[in-house]
Amino acid sequence: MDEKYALEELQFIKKVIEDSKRSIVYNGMDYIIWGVLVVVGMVITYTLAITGVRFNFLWVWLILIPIGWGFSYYNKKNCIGKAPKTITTKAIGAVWLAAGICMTLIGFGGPVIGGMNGMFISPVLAIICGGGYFVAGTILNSKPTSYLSLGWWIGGIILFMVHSINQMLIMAALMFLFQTIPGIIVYRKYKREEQSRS
Amino acid sequence: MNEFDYQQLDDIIHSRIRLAIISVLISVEEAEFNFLKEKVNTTDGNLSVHIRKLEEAGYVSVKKEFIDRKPKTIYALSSIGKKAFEAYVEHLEKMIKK
Repeated sequence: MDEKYALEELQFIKKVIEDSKRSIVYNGMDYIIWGVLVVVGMVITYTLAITGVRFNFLWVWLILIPIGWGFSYYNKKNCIGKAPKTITTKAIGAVWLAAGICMTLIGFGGPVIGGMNGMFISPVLAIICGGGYFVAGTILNSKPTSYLSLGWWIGGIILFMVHSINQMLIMAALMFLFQTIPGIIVYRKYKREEQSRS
Repeated sequence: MNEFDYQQLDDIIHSRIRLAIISVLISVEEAEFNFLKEKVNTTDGNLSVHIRKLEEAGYVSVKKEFIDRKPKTIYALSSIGKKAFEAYVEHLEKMIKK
């Protein structure tokens, strides 16, 4: 046993630690549920708006958003024990918790307090989503996840330029393309890995 | 001096599989058996034997839980295990510096 062996041993330890730290077991259900809820909310709001029904649209979101948070809490509790607690898991959780709180505050604070033009809510939310995907992709070292941020940011710019009710349909499309579909892909991958582990 | 002093090496950690188990556990707060198996890349039986040795030495703590009605065994590195690992790494580093 010599210096070379000691160096190899340290490199082995480093490699195992790096690999384990990056490990994440995520089922993608949050992406799917939030994606579906926002698409449903946007379509309901759009339909109510074009049919001329007199209704405070805020109620739609007051019902849907707590459902999303409730599900996220349930999903987190359900994942305890299934996933290793790594710094990556914590960092990803913190990114989306922060992004979710920002989006909820802007989504409700804008229309309720009136400090923000309603037409700016969807673009700002899309840009925050882009930021979330960019950071998550960097932490996970996942280029496809980082690329989703481009979709959100381009979508955000488009939303800034659309000053009509059609903004809701564009936001619904962004949610479906860059949130729900990736969530389904992650979920299917998770299920395959779960089957191979058991 | 380039030779290792074998007397100073921790026999419990000085095995590739046990070192890998401890390296995984140092990077996570806790991990389930199948996760460890995947990361250490070994068989159920082999992993069980090595984990038992670590458990007997007090380096690893074990808890059993039912998740989705399935029994799961969750492992974590104890404070004794953490100290032993740090001492082991320190010893390796000293050998390189010499």
